[in-house]
Amino acid sequence: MVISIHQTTEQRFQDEDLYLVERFVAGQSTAFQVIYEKYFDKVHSIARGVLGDHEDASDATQEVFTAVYRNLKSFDRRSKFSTWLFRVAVNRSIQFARSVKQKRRQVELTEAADVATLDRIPAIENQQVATCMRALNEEDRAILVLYYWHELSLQEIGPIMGCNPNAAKTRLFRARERFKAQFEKEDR
Amino acid sequence: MDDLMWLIADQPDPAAIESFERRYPELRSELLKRINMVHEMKGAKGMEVPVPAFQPTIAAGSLRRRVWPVVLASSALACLALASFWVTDRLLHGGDLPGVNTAKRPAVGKFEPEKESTTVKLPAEAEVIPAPPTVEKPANVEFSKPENSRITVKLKDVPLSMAISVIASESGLHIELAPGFPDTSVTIDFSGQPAIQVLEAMGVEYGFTPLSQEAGSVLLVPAKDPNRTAPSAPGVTETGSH
Repeated sequence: MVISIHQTTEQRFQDEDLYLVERFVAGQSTAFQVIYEKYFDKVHSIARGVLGDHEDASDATQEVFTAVYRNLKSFDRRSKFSTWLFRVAVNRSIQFARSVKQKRRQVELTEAADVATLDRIPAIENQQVATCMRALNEEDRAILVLYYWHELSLQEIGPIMGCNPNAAKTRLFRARERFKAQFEKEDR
Repeated sequence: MDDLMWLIADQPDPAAIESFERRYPELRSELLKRINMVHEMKGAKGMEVPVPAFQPTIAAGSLRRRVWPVVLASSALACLALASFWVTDRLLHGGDLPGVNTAKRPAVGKFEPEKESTTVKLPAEAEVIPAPPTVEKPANVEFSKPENSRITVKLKDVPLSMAISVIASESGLHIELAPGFPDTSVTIDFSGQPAIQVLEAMGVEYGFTPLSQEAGSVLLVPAKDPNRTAPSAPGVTETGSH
């Protein structure tokens, strides 16, 4: 009975997303505002986890929703809207992280001390976790965020990361092991 | 074993932890580490952030994607303009275009006035009006003779010898003056007349007779032919002879 209620609730949310998408595609721009407000925090937390910086995460989140706004018409409805959205969020955040990394490397090369970076608000309040996350690559951070922060199942994470659930399980295992190694190093 | 420990760490059920510790006491610390790590990780998610207004951003990539078509179109237009300039330049300056059969192409060269329409600089009193350029002459041998080349000459109060030399230069005739030729002041106004007719008309007026010699050569003798009168061929107009 509980399972059936849960499924009904999921179904309702799923339908609500599709309804909003349909309304937006039909030209009702306020539908997008509803989508934006509903998913902002989830997308922002993905960006925060991948990027590790509050300002970068906010910029990346705006980029994600801009991309969604522009490409929502191409959403094929074969997957859940949230899966599609999170996939866009993960990919954009990874891209953003790489471009930021490249820019900062250039700044270091020109020996221009970026004082502003020292004052930036950390995206992850727990210093130990933040340090461990920073030591991982972007894909590892993304899968840990999806699994531990969003509490998604491997069946849901697979399509978001562009792989099947078994591959997602393997990737999660490796990411977790790398995180643990860093965590223990920080613990000493 | 790793999977089992991660499973318990992810969902730390006290009964499951107790059971695991009882069965694998040597792995107790390892399990606790993982439980602690997962707990820290989950707790690091942080608070919800206030939702700012949606501000669409223009990513550098999309900007590049937008700029490229404009750059390509501009380049194509520039190439087109250069090509048309080059073709026009070649046509105007008589250059051959690669792949174009120039034999069939009508001769479009630099405009050069024909000989009879050359403007001659004369003293202030003299004025030469060039004849309108003839587009095409029929293939008639008579027209090719210098005597028959049409000239336009308008001179006022100039010596006869100067008038003769102007006519010679305009028509291409070789004009010889016999001894005792009068060099009086003349005023003439001929338009589009054959050179020989101009000379004949002047001869009637100023007392000399043009005698055609070999081709392109005329001798002017200071005597009037009593049988000759002013030319009255159709199209011959003498507007101001004295």
